[in-house]
Amino acid sequence: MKTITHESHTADVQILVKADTMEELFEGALDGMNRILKADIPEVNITKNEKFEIEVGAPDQTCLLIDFLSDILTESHEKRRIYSGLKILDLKTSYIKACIYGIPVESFDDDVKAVTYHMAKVEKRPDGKWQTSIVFDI
Amino acid sequence: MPYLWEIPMGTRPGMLVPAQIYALEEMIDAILNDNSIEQLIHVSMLPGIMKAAMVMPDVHQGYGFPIGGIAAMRWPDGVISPGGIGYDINCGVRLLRSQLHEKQISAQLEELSVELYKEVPSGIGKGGQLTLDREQLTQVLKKGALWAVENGYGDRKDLQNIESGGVLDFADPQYVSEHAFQRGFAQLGTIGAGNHFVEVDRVEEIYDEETARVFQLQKGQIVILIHTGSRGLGHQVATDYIRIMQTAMSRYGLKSPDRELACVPFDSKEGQEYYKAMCAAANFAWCNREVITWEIRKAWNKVFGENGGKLDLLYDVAHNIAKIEEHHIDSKIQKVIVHRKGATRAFGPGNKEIPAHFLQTGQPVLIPGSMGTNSYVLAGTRGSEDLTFGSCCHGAGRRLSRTAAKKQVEAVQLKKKLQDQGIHIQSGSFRGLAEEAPIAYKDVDLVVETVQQAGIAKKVAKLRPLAVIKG
Repeated sequence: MKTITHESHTADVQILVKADTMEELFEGALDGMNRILKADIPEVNITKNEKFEIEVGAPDQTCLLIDFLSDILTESHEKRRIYSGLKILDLKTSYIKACIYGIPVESFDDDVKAVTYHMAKVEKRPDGKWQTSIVFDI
Repeated sequence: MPYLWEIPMGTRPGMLVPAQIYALEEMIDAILNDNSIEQLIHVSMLPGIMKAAMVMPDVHQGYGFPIGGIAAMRWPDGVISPGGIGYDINCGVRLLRSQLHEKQISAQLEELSVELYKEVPSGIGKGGQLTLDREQLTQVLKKGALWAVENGYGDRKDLQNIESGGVLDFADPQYVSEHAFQRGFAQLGTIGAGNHFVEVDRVEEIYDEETARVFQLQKGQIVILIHTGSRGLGHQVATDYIRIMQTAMSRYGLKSPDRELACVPFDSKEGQEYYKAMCAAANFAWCNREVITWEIRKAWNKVFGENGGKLDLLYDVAHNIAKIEEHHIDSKIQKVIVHRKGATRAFGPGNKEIPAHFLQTGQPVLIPGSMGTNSYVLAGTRGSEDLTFGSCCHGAGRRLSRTAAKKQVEAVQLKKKLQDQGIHIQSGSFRGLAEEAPIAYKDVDLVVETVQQAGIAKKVAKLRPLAVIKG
């Protein structure tokens, strides 16, 4: 179970992602970013659509999430695709390996310039839920 | 009337200098409405910061640095922070002067705006008319606007009217990543989306006849504003180096109060590599605005033919950049690394870095308003060099979030309302139109009034939009 809510930010777009597990937090954050890029995300067929393997190492889990999203955003811009299919192969505090499946789109709704570290803090709350805010530079 | 507010150095542990806010009293409530002052206090904690962390009256919350922020660091061992420049490296504005007046173009204004929309690619991820190979892009990153001139996409006379001549010699493309190259190959000559635009304006009012004469501006004259930056290439350079600095800063014993304020000493390996890559991205942006100028001249000639006369360049300014400059600090001239994030250079009369023909007046400072409101041409002053490291505001500054703007504005009605005011809109996205509605921005008249009263720039001319072209 994961939720994504939009929070107020004067110039950019800020979301709050909550999830039961760290895997779901990564899925929710990717979903949140993709929905800024494109409100109507096309259905991904993981057997047919283009995939690439992503591997990211980072000093901590907050950097890991932001760097993971940044790498996918770069691919989205370069290939003009929405990578909405995610299969996590390995996830540790400072390492992720995953397969990402993308589908071509004509255009994006918003120009997401970057995924920022500002306000981001991946943490496990006392209620056992994982959460973080993420600010996207628009 | 007060225009300068100061938060003393001891207000928060870790502040190394005071935090200064340039704003008229009636603007303060809006400024306190978001986190921009908290972000300014964080900037005051960066190692090597000199004199004060400052924000201009168009300040609003960013990520790490506030937008509208200025910070000068001790050279060469003070820090450089990519967050203090922003993801859109060398986002900036240029103004083209025409020889025509409104009455000479009014019948063809709609045709002109359609032609500009066709000729200047806009929108998210839109490629340009040129696709560069690796060697060509490498040369763009080294030569900036000169590349456009040498390859038939620019006018050599333009170069003298671009900040830094349209090129930063420190640029080194080998520090620009493969991903940044990939994103840059097809984006030269494109404006992108968001608040970027091409705008046809009428000179509405002249405030300073003498300076306007030097700037060759007169009431009723048609001018064109261009606002864009280094596109995906610049975004990628910033992304790459902010990530590098997350881990590098601990090697220099540095901590920052916000991860987006990641920084390293300017004279460190990572600091030098970032600066060389940033200069390369800045050169891309200047070349981009030169190629867009070539596209605009094509559209202009197509619509007006021989009767259109020339479109020449008044000036081109950067408002997201770091520059090595010399300033008077503590009664002596010191070299500093000036970070301007949403702030414009405003060098005054006699400054050796501005073109000779502006030595008596100070450099032109271009302040675009929001879509549908006034823009301004100002002149830099010696006051800005004394007070704000030769810097000034960069625009109106956002007031409402994009979401709030979309809730309050119906794009179709907005377009009609602007049309009723005589402003043609060519936009690829109704959503983008609502997000950039005038209600989402501060009152640019008050912003400009503040910098005039503070003596960091002086009003020369007010511009009124007639046509806006955006993605």
